[in-house]
Amino acid sequence: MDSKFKEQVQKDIQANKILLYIKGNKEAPQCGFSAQVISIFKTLGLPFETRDILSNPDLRSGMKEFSQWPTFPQVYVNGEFLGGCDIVTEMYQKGELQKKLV
Amino acid sequence: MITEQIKKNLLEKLSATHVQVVDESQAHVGHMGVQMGGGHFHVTIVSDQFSEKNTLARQRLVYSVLQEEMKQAVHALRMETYTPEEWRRQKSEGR
Repeated sequence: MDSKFKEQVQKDIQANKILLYIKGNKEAPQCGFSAQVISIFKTLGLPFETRDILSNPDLRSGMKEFSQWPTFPQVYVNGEFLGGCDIVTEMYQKGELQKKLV
Repeated sequence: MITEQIKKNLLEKLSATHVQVVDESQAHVGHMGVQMGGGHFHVTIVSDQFSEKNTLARQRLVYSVLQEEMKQAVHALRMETYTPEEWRRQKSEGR
């Protein structure tokens, strides 16, 4: 992972309060786990951005390394990596996710 | 079998006292990840090494001992992670 890539990702996660690295896009997620996190953030009714890792192999391999996390989706809130579908779903059910977004 | 390999790794490397691996790939037939050869697994792990770790740290730990499997054989992992104490409580609640 080169420093330019790292810098770009840093910028992106700082510029977007809620940023999801997913398979597909908001309208057409290509994986059930990506679809699930999208539906959570849609339910919360807050603006969020997504990046499609399927259409960009470099982003896909780069984000595995950047987050030190081997799967997608990867959820970033306030520039912080929260985890994947399991963790974000659990945080949502416990109300912890909502607290981070106040 | 990949499920056996996952189980063996978790038992050995996490000193887990209980491991259950369920292959859920069948539920995802036709899904791109499955077409690419990776399976979907649901693992339940009980280990002392989860003590004083949040869910993110626990899952990172699990991924770290399954690095090889994650490259090819595993497309998605659903994880339930418990310390022995949490596991006892979980079971006594009858869930």
